[in-house]
Amino acid sequence: MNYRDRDLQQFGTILEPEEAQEPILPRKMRKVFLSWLTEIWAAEQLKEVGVKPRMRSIFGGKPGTGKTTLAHHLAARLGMRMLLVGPEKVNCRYMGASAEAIGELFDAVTRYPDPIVLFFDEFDSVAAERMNSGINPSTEQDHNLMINTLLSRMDRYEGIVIAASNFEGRLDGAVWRRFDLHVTLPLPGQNERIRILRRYFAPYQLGKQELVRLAESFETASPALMRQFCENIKRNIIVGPMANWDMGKRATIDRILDSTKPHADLGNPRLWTHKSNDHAIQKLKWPLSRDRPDEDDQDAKTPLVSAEEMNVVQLTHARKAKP
Amino acid sequence: MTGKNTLAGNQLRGLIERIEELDVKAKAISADKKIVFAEAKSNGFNTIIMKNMIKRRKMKPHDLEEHDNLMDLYGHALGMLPEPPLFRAVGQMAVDTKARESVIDALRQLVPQSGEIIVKIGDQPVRMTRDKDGNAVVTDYTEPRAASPYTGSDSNALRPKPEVPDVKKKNAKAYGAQFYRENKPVISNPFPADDPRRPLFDQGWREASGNDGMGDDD
Ligand SMILES: Nc1ncnc2c1ncn2[C@@H]1O[C@H](COP(=O)(O)OP(=O)(O)OP(=O)(O)O)[C@@H](O)[C@H]1O
Ligand SMILES: [Mg+2]
Repeated sequence: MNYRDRDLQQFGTILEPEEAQEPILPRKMRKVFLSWLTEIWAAEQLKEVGVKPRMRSIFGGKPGTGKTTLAHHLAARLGMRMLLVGPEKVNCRYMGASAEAIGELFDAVTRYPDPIVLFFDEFDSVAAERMNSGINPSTEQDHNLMINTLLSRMDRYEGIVIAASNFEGRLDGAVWRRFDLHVTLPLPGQNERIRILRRYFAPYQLGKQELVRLAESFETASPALMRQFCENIKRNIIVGPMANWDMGKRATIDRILDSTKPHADLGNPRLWTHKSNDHAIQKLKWPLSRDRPDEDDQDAKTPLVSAEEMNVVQLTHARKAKP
Repeated sequence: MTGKNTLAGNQLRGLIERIEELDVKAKAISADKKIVFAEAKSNGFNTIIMKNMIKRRKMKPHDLEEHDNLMDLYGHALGMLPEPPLFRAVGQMAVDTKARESVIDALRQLVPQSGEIIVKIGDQPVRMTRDKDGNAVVTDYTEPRAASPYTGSDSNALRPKPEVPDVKKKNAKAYGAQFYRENKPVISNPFPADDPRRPLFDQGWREASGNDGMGDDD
């Protein structure tokens, strides 16, 4: 680490490209981001026709849908490090200090010798709408000053800026308009859930049908929750026997479900309602195995529906179910 | 002084009562002060800094200056100041060559054993380091350009760069494809951010894998 890294680290964490993970996203979303990368890479050609690539994006979406993961991945694709700035690094308690911090942040990033992606996490807590209610004039003035500084610094800054927010609606309008690519990360569909489960269960391998059923029981779950669930199972498998826990299927699953809570904004997936009575769990082979499953699973003989079809099936079910 | 109503006794009581009255007033005043500070705080001012400011305003200008110089000096000695006083002085000087040399000389002693001082005096910044015998070495220093991606080949980066392979631009795509076949992830792209071979590598990797580098759907 050198002094220039320290210069940046007062404003956040520097994430290395090598540490990035690919987010699991629907194909449509991935297309958007691949075109963004292509656009950034085409800067020279774009210059010939007098335009610049879009350099600023806001990622919206529910908690744990992969906003940070995605930004980190894109930075890594571009071969850049990423400075992750949390709101606590720029929101200061004292008059004028927040505006000053914003100025210093942009100075530090500009001074930095390598190109770097500037990532604002929980951006709504930084760039909340300007106020003039007059209820708390000095606080409001201070916030407005900070936003004005942010605006003018962004106008002068040429590097890549990504902001993440669970509440895009709370962002200051003028700040929002400074971003030229607005995307909302969706909750994963069935197809993505299968891939997420498969990734985070590894090295344990589940059969195709087991994955499909489990993925259904996770409908409305965020990737972050699914990751937690899988990793807790793996922890239990290793630690449980040492600690003399009941490692039976139902006991283990219920223990994990009790200690893994879905985010309050997202509601409970089916699995949390039925717990180990859920048929996805009832049909789950236990203990999990690291070997490739031989597909003697009964359901495996029925042809696999594609995930898209499956969504359609579910939708029609849902419609029929309504009186 | 034995009797209660002796002259001395009365005089003493009077004095003590006056002090007690003053104490009461002082208490009231310090309560008032607290209220003013609370008001300041609720308006977003830092009261510790305010108290400091009040102390400073009480000081004579000369004492204040001396105080500040000592603070700088001590702070620097403890490694607490990013900008030692000398630097500030240098920054404020309109430096002619002679002054420049003398400033450089003065700075020589401050060069840390493992580290460097970079100072801008006049137009030409210099970097001061120590060689293995501990002598201060002064070299000209070129400032890295601002971080503006994709606008040229800025390679003044201080981070040790991983080896950039010697691959011709027209072969960069094939190189990416080879990485895919060797089971290496797309982000193991060895070309730096502003290298035209980087996107070609990425493209080659994607074409070989048939996906966009964010996993395949199945
Ligand atoms: N789309 C995804 N694919 C794979 N893993 C994901 C995905 N989204 C989230 N995760 C995993 O969930 C965890 C949380 O993800 P991340 O921090 O990127 O979400 P976020 O949207 O930034 O959440 P928050 O709103 O809480 O900041 C990470 O460990 C990440 O690996
Ligand atoms: Mg996040």
